[in-house]
Amino acid sequence: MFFLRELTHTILLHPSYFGAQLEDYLRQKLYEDVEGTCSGKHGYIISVITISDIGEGKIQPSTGQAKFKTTYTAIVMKPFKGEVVDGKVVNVNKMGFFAMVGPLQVFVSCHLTHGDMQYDPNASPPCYRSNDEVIQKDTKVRMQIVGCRVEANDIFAIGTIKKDFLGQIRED
Amino acid sequence: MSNIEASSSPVDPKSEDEMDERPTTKKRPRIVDPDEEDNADDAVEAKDDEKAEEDEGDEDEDDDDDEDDEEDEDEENDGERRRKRRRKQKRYRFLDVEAEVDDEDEEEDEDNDYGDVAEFIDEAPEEGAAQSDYQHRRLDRSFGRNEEEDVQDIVQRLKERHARTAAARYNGDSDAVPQRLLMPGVNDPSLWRVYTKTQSGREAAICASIFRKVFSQQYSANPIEVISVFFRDSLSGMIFLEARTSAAVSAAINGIVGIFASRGVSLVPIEEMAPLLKIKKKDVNLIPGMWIRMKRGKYNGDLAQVVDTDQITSGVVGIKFIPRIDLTPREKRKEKAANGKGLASATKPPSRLFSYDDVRKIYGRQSVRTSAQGSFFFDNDEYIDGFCVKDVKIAIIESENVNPTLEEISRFSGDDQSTAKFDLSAIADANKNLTVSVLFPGDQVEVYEGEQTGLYGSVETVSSDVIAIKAVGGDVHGQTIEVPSRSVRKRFDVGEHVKVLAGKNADATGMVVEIKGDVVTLMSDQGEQEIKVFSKDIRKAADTTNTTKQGGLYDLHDLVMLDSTTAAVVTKVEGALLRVLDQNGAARSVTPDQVTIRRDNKRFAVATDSQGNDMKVGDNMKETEGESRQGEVINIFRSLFVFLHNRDLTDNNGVFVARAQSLISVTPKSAVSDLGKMNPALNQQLPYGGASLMPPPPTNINRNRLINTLVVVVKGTSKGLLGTIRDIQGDNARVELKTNNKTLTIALTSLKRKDQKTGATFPLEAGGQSTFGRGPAAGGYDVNPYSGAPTTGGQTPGGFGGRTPGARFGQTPNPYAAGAMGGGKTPNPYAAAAGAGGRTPAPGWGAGGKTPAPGWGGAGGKTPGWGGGGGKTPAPGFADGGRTPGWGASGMGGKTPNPYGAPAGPSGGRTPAPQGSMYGAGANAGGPSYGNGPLTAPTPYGGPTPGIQSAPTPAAPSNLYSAPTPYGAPTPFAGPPTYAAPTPGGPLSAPTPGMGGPTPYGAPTPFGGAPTPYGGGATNGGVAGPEGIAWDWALDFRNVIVEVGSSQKPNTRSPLHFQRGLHDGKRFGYDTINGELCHCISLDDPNTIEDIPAEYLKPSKPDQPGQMVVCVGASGSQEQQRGLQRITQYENGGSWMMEMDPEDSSALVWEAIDLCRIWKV
Repeated sequence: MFFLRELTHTILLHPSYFGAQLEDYLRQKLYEDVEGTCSGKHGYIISVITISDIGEGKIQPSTGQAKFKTTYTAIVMKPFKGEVVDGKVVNVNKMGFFAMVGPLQVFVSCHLTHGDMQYDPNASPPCYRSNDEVIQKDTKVRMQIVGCRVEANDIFAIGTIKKDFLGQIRED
Repeated sequence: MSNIEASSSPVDPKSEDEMDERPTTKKRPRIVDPDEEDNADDAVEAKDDEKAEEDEGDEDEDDDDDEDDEEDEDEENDGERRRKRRRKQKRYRFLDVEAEVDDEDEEEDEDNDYGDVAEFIDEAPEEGAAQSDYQHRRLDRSFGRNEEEDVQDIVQRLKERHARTAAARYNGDSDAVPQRLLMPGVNDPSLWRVYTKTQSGREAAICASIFRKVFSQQYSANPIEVISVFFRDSLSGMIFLEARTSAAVSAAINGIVGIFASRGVSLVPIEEMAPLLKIKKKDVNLIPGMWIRMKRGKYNGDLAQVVDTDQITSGVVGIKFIPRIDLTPREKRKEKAANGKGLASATKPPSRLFSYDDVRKIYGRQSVRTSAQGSFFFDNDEYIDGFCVKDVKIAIIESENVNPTLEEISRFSGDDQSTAKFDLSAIADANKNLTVSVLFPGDQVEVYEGEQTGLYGSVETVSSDVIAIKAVGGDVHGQTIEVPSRSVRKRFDVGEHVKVLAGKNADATGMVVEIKGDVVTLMSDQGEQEIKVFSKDIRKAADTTNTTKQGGLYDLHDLVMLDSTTAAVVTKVEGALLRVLDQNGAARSVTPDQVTIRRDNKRFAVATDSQGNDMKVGDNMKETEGESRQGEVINIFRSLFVFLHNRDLTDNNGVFVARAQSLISVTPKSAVSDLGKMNPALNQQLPYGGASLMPPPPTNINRNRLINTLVVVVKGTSKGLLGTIRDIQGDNARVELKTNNKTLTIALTSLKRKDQKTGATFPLEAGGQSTFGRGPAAGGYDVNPYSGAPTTGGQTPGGFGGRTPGARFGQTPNPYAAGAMGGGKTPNPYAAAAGAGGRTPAPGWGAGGKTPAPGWGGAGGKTPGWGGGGGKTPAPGFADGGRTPGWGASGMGGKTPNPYGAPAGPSGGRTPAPQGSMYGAGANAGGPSYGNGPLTAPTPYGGPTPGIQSAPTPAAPSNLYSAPTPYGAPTPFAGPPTYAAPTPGGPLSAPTPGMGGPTPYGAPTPFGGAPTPYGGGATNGGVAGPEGIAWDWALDFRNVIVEVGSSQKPNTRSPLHFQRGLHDGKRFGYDTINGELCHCISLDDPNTIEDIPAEYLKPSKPDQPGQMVVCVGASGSQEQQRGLQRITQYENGGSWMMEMDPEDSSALVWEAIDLCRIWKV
């Protein structure tokens, strides 16, 4: 699920950047530092929308670097148990398949697919096949997240397609 | 009562409970107690024991009575006695209780004679009457029945009766009755306990020696009155002797080694005697399907399954297990035996399912017999479906604490992958006993059997058998319900993050993907694999694994100090314990108070890796030696010890320690992480003398060109000797001495170059010295590109003078081929500038150091200068620098390592046109044109733009984030703009190299200023060719019109005329240069195309007004204007007046010989 969140980030800036373009550096560094990262607490930081406060630089003793505590608003994505997401399959193996939902990796175990879905290792690429569905690499699938493992800087989810209206999304 | 007794009814279910209560009734005569308890045990253990059951019946009655008794106990003390008596009577109705009567009587006599007797009298007739009455009636009835029934019935009944009794006799743990008779009393010999000195092992020997002692004195005058001696394995360190007196015991143990005589002899209380000798019988309750383990032999510890219990009564049970058949080939086995390893000592063969083919192969066809049912017989064992099915004694199997693992069970099922075939209930049974120990308050459990089936909730309290659950959902939501612990199992949800507590995969974490009864399938976090575990073996994990950060004083991967010199990194936080890895690679567990935390230096700790590069926390490094482990730096201690972490490693949770010196960066450092690069000021190479903070990196000097140089040794033992360098090895040279033809290794610093002709010595590498003072008067080449000021004579032009402006540029391998003619060829980056930078190898261009070139330049003292007028000098010298390495071709020579060398335009190669730099407008040559983007690529503006037409503004798209513009960068050309940058020739849009290409992110522009090469205004005779212009001028220009003529090159070995004068006098234009060859196209006949060496080309002078010309700067006076393009206005006596250009302060007048017509624009 996506949220707008107000977050803070502390930037250390080398003294050589102190100058007229300081602020540009700070902005740039903020973007570089936070966009695309993931924190267990907030989820994936997709994009910084606004920088509300760039903070006052505080020179650090011994290094001369300046510390800026910036406040910004960002779009974050955090998966939740029970959430239904659409993703794209990136990897299929005998245990199940991995799908990417944006930056989030979701694993769908073969136990969490419909009973008639079988792994077909001989197909190229390997796929899961049932009477009316084929799930292989690059297939678009709809999954429901059944559990998330949240680490300090990563989130990993397990999904299921063993429910109605889940599974392969057809283009037509 | 008697009904119950007679009918030997099944035990009342309540009886057990009642028996439990029994010990609370205190009034019972003491002697009976052990007996009764024994009895109770028996009842539980062997329920089919009829006699025991009869006792049971009795006891039930008794107990009822007891309860009654106790109710009115207080009121009637006397009555109680009486009833007890009566009860005893009943109890021992079938038994011979004479021995006890005495006892009782004694006791009672002490108490109350009268009451007792009265009771006795009262009761006896009553009972006797009842009995006889009953028996009479029964007799009558049976007679009647006998009459009625036919013989068959009688036979049937008899059979039944006898069958029953026979069974009872057969099964009977019939010790119950006799034992109670044999219970020791006060009159029996007592049991004495003595201690042995050693705690265990010697008891048997001691007993034996006591035996011997007793036996030996048996028939002597004083036999030792010890009846028996024994010890119990369970009571080590004690020996028991049965004797009537302690004196006998003392006599028996006297002198026996190993007895702890001083601890004395103590009497075992009577009530402890029986238990002491009691063998605890185990309840072997074997059910087909249950799991057991073998106790002995080669199958010791193996899991087996009970298949039939038909013969359990004879102590034999049929089990099934995976056989361990030795399938090593016979020869090998013989070898083994020959080696002294008997079969017995051989290791256990691996357990594998029986395979007929394999066994037949090893043991021969006749060894295996096939039965009709498809089973095999081998070595007296039967094999079905690969399993060995065998009847074994109960004694060799273990039915408790079996704890079969999932793996073992899956092997039994024959299919590791599927749990479907498992008899889950069997597994559950096997694991039932453990349930309690693994349950903790807060666990989610579910009731799977019993009346609460389906209920689930979280555990509130755990006691041995009962747990309290706070129910979730349903009618009982929120209530606390007690359920038997054996009927609950842990409950998990799909997707839950759990940790494995026990088994093969202990400590693994993963997410639940499937739950099937007791078996939970996990998707492991560690690797992409599935793990199947019992739900009892897992518990819900925190969302983070143990290898990630946790709260607390010490976090994972914190650097802590074990002592003042030893640092360690926390690899795991185990509750109150820290698992750490110290700097020496030793892992240990410490408590938090044993360590101190080290100040967090992650932000600035730096170490130097094996290549001399910095590394910091967060860098990915790899070991250069050892295991070549790779990991991310998590801590650096003293810039020496680097702690790294790699999730893939299993040791120490992925943390390892390495010496900084043995690491190497895995990836090229990102600009951001490198402090030096982070500093925009350092990104910028400050053109002139800017106080760059970064020392020039060591230049990779190609010293090989020094080979064959004539040198003189100026230091050391060989000082003064002359020699020739034969080889260069690092900082040393192998010098072949002239004197004795020896080759010595001498440091380069001890050598000086000797000029063969003049005998003058020069520093080996600083060939530039001679160029320093070279004024414009110097030859056509060897032009100091930076000597901007148009000084005349040998005067060193202003600003830079001897101090080379470009001292810093030595780093770059000659990007800008500085000098005019010769310049480009030298390996010397900044040509002239080089001189100063001692590092510039190139002594070379042009005359360079080698060239005695006496003379020109009026240079600094050392240089044998020309002295302006050149009077002194024959000036042969500037020569062609034949010796200058790399000189080979002409100015733009392909040989030049000049990165910018090749490009087009007369000024092409010379135009540094730093990629991405923002040039100012070209016309405004000297004018500092600032980079315009706020964050543009480093625009070391100030570069005099080559190209009058301002064409070649590379105007790289400004890159927003690149290094900052060093505003203050000094313009390379100090000179006033007027003549600051005579653009060499490119009147046209000489394409500046690098133009347009997007500036690579932050690519440091090596050099902003365009050192517009001077053509070198060699006007002085002898230097230039007949035309007063350097012979290779053409290489500096392009798109100009030339005339072919005789070779201008002094001392050339080429023929005087190109193609014997075929094209002499013809005019050509050329636009590309290949080496020294100009690709010329005839103006008269475009089909005539020749590659003409530059030495044959002369500028085509303007012949009428309005022609576009470029100043080729042949004459000294116009040297600084070389490259300027103008349009001729009119001629006056060999000089041309140019049309005035906006940047000119006044109209220019150029000598005709300085001019060359432009071919095409």
